[in-house]
Amino acid sequence: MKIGKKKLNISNAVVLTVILILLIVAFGLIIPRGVFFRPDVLLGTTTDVAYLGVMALPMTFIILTAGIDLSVGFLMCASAMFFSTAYGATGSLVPSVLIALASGALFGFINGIIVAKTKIHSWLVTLSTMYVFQAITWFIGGTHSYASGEAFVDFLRGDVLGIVPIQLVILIVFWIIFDLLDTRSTLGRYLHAIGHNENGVMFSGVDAKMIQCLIFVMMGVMCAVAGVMFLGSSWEINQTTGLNMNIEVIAIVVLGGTSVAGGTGSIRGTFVATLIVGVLRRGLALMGMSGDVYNFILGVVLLCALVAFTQSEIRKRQASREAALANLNESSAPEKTS
Amino acid sequence: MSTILKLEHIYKSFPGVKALDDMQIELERGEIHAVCGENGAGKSTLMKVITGVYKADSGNMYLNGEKITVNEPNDAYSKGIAIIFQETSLFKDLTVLENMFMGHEPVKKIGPISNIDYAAEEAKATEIFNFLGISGISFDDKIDNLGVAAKQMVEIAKALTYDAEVLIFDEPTAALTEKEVRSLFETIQRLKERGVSMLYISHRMEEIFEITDRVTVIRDGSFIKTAKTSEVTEQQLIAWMVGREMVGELYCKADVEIGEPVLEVKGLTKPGLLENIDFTLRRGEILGFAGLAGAGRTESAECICGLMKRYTADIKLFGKPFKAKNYRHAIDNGLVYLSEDRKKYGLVVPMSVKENLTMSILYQISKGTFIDFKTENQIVEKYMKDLSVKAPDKDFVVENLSGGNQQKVLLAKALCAKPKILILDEPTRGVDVGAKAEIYKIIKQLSEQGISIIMISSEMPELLGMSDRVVVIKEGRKVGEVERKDFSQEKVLGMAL
Amino acid sequence: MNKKNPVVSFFTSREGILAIFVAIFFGVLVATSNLGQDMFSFLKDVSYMIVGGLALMLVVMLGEIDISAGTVLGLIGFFTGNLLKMGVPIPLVILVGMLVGMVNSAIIGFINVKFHVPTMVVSLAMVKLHLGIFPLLPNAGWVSNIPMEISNVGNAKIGVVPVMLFFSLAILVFFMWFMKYTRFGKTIYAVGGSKPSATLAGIKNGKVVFLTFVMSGALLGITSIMYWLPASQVQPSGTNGLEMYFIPIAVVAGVSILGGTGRPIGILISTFLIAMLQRACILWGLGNAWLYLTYGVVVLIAVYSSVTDFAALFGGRKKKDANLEGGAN
Repeated sequence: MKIGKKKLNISNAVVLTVILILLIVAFGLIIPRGVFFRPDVLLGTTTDVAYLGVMALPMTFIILTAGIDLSVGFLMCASAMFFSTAYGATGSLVPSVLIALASGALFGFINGIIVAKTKIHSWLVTLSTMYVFQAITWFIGGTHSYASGEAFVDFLRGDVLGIVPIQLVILIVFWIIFDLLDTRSTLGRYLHAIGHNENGVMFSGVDAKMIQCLIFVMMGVMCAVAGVMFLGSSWEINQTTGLNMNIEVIAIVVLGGTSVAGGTGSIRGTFVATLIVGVLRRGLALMGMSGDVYNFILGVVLLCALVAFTQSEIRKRQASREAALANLNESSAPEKTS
Repeated sequence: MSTILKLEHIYKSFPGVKALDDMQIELERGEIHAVCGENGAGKSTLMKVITGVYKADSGNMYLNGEKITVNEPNDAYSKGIAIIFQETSLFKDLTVLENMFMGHEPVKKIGPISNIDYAAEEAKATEIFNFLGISGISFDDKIDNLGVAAKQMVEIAKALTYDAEVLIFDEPTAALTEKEVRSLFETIQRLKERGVSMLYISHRMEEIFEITDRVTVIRDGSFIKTAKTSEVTEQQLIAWMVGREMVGELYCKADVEIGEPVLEVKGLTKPGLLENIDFTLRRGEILGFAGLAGAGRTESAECICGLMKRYTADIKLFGKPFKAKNYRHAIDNGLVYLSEDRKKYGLVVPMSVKENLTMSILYQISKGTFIDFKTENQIVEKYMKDLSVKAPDKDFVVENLSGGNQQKVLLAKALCAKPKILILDEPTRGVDVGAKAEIYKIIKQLSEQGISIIMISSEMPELLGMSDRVVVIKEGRKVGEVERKDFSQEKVLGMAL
Repeated sequence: MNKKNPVVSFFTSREGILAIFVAIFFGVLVATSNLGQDMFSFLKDVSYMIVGGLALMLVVMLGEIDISAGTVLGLIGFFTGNLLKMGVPIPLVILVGMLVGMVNSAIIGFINVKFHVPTMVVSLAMVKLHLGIFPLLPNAGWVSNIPMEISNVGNAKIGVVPVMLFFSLAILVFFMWFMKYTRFGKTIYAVGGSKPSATLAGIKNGKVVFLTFVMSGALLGITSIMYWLPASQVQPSGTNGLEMYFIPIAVVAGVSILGGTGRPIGILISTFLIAMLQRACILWGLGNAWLYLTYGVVVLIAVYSSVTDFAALFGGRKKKDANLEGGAN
């Protein structure tokens, strides 16, 4: 009796992929001479957003646990400045990257430890630390810019096989790692569970607070990675670079179908949402629209996505409850049906 | 006497549960009317329907013979029906006075503007406090700074600000001391003299016989019987509550040879909660923990399992000194705790049966950080079959299961951690009689396998039916220990109260 | 019941201790910098910050937040600036400003109540909307050449005290009355304190959240006008980031971010504190870095102190209730 009732369960990632394809087709048709359909242009859309995508991956983890990190923009900015300062002083790449990663990890740890050890909600903690990281970027100060010729810049602006931007490759590598963590690891399982019911996880002998701290450290490290990627793709960074970047990252995660109430969501959705935002940004730019139009559209899309996803979440839950209740009423005798 | 409140044909369903099934109740003017039934029988749901917190799916409600509809709490209050909740519904950051009049503050017009009339509030509150004989609470006290009994008094005073004709008490004595219970009863008598009609929900038989005029028994969401309290016996009441046919055969006690001590606890102390609790658990034994809610039974268990910190105790596990660093440490040493509140602490209800079942052993079945899905599926299937969890498949969401099956998932979750000592906290709360019997059978099998069990329960028949020995805890202290041969309800209750 | 002396109880409360600290800080600042000469513009800042802080306090008391409180001021400024330029009387313009603010906040409140989306995320989306909408407006949202007679109204003063400050104080007094003497004011405390308990007290949580947001929006409308009126032009992006003042003001005022506590009088004191910190960083030549650092630390300390019982830490106040430490959290 249940076979007839079983609905086709389409995951968010599939819906988003369809939207992505529709968006590409639309831009391809609108933008003259089919420029948008050229593989190099299409793949190039990702270079604008790869660093955002890299930050959106751990942000998905944080939002899965019903938390949020508002400090990411300036965290990225601060780590990038550490990198830049170290690179400028020493000229050697690897130690500089390590310094950036270490600073990112430290900043993330500061967020994580406060969130884990106090009762203060993460948005307030990270709002405060956002100011602190902003202060750090101002303390280091200045504009750090690079031109082509620098080895790492050339590398980060380069491509693989002459067509796939290295930024996209980095994003895909991290996506695969995070996707494995999300779907196959104990960490992923716990993250979803913490988002639904933190107590339930603690009463399973799992140190939920430690996990919360850990994902903030991951966030910090990935922000540092994103900071270096940003320098590679955007040439320069200054004290105001991080302003409102948190919104972009959170927007990607929300667009990817991760519920801000915690528990449900996926890294896959976040990845596709990153691509969508990239297409939207570059597409609008190729249509000759300013970044502000993009801002406005993203704001509207974000609001719609928030409403749509929460609604569908509630509907889904209600439907499965009703189905269960109907099932209960029908089968007063406990017979096995499936 | 005339009927003041009457409910008939009330139906209310929740996901997976028919909470009220053709329920009815009749309250006469000026009487104290007990409502009794087991945990999960539907008492609280019924009260929430009466006060408009829940909306009934269907049914009729009459007040003074007139049909009324109560869609929200305000409807009930405005008609003079008020409730004193089990869990306090007060705002902890606000003052006593603000709490008492929240949502229905008296106002005074100054010109066109309505101002809250603090003078009128104080006058009325003083009158109510005098009537209830409350002293020692100031109107300016923040609720957060009051004790349990004081909060309860404020709750009662708050209910009286609605000029209630019908008052509902939902387990008012659960957290009170003997002395406080006495003064509460005096208050209730005074209210009765004033002509207030009261519904009184309680687990404690002697209270029901002491103060109520009539009693209505409900079971599994259905109406069973209403009778004059003076005309029934305790045995009759219990029989109605559990369902006659189940008594006797419900509890199955294994005949197990009890072995060496496995858990010895000496001087368990946690400031403010527990004081110097000693007990010993032996191999294959079922040790009951009796006491009132809040007496310190759950807290003792949580301390031993490392779920609560900052306590002192001398604990020996299998003869070796042991102090759980955290709950994981306890699980690794074969000590597993099953929470009384399965939705809040036990399970992650929006997740699947599978994900819940393996939550506490995930690290054992993963390679590195990655879960071994094949092993996981095998374990889940085994335990679902062993405990006959009735779910369509292992990916079914737990919140859509019935209470009994949720409890079985919780048990399975504990069992797959391979416990040697199992602490069950209210293992049959909110579970129907059929599932109860199954759970008792599982407990029996476990003790046959040599697993030692501590069973914390507020249901006396269950405790006496299943345990080898009962430890009684009262106000954070161990007040007695009763062997199976000396078991009697009166004896254990006498110590616990 | 025994009444405490109001003066004594004020100075032993959180607000009172803060007030003493602020007064000392003020003295030090005046003595060590040229704040004395700059008093008028300082008080002008204080004027709009009081109203903005109140706007944020209302939503924060519910346990909600409005991150877009800064950017929306520019949007409101665009409408009101154009009206002022057209010669519409100021009281009417104030009403329009309040209306724009109310619509904006109503959207946030509505989406929160109707769709259960946390206001923090909704208001983040609103920031994006605000940032994106200015350039789409005529003249990129800029309004210039507002007649001097109008900006003179905003700059009117008695001594060194701007007339606007009296206006702010009037609003503050209104809210002191509102929170204490109206039923709606009480329900804000109730909903912020515990939504389930509020439901049991017959309060409709959704309605209260929505209306409180609308009220907060009206206050933001007034804030915007007070911010732009003294200038002769509106440059929308100029208000970006002003929420950085309002949130600390609301938080420091003793509004527990978990909702449910706080008194409007605290806003007055914390506004002075935040405004003085800002001035101090400029006047002492410390620069932006120190400003950001102080705000970050101040917010953290304020929030931490509101979730931690310091009085109990110092052995001041003993809880009568031993049963508070339930569960294992």
